[in-house]
Amino acid sequence: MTEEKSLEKWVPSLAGRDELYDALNKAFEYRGDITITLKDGSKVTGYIFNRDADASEPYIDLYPADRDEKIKVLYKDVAALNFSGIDTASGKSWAAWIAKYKAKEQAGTV
Amino acid sequence: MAVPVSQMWTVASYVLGQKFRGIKRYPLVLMLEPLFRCNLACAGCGKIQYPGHILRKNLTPEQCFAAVDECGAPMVSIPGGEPLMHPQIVEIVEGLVKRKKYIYLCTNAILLEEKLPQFKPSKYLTFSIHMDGPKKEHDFAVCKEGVYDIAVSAIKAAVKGGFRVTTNTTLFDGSDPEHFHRFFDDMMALGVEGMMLSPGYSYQKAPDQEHFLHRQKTMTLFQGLLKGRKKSWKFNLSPLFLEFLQGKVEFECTPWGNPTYNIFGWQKPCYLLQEGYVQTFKELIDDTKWENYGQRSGNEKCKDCMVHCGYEPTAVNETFGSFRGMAKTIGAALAHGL
Repeated sequence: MTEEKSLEKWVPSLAGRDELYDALNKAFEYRGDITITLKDGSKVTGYIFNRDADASEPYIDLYPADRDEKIKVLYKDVAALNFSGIDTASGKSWAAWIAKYKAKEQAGTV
Repeated sequence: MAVPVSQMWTVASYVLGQKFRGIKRYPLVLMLEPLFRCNLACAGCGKIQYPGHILRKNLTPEQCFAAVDECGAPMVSIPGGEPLMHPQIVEIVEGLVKRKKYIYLCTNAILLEEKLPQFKPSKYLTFSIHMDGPKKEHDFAVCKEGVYDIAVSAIKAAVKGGFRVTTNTTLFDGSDPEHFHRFFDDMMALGVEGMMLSPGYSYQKAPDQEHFLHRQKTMTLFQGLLKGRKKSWKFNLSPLFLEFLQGKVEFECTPWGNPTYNIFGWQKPCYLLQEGYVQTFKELIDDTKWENYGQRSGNEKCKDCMVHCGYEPTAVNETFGSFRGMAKTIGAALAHGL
């Protein structure tokens, strides 16, 4: 099993609508924090747990890393994205665990 | 049957009540995830892969009670994360017992012996202990040695303390039925009320896509597991669901049967797929495009799934949906010597 390449540190180009929608979809799937730069210049970093690309005003929901509240960001307000947080799923595949376990077996520690 | 009569009566009367009122989509078990953090990091589990600030969050008891009241399901399963790490888990359980909900508190049992004195035995409370097979298989699945022995010790303590105890076991590709027959003997000898089995499912965010079971393999495995079944083995599953797992009956998924609530809200569409969240149970039921899920929908993510959270509610609905369904259930129960 090959592990998918992590998107950690990825800064996608958001030149057009398709790129924006695709990047926000990937941000929703990503298991780490995302830093969003808004069109007013402000930034928010947090975990994106929801998105509705089909809503009349497409949006994402996120938990900011620095406070305990859910906030909504409209797609149209997003200027830039950075997959800034650690990818917590990276290296956690079954294949990685098997490899680790086999190494322990060979070392006689299990 | 492993499940007490009072619980069966509660579930039966609830399901019949929904049917008499013409409610097509009703919840059977609320999956209440009060936190995501865990004291294990199993390779097959994607539930704990969140940034630290998310893992540190807890649902409050009030949020848990509001979700339970809003949903109305007669049973509440509390997975996680590890629920015994929640600082107010005792208060949450007491509140649910007060509401006469049948609770399955799913735990890896690492903290169980330490926390046990804080709980009171009740017919409404069952500790559902994560046990993925015999010692070697379990410790391998949870990626930590010694956990099987801790869990066995905790099961003994909980049984001795008068608590209801069941086991829950996820079966992965390559599981050896003979090993599991011995495991079933061992668990029943510990005095557990019943054993819950489920095929592993390659849910989208799980890191273990290859090792989960595909449909035909699931059926073959369960045929092997239940071949020559001993009367002493009690399964905490409905007879028709066991028939389904062996490929003897065809069912379609009931994804709304076990709705999930956690710090993000109500999870769309089910416990395993994570396609977003809504903030009310009504929105979940009314606004989810249910026709897009289940094997017949053609959804790739659903094609191999035979997991209890989607199909046990179907089996229960079938049982109480008609005299024919009830007759099939009785027939399956008799065939399995239940």
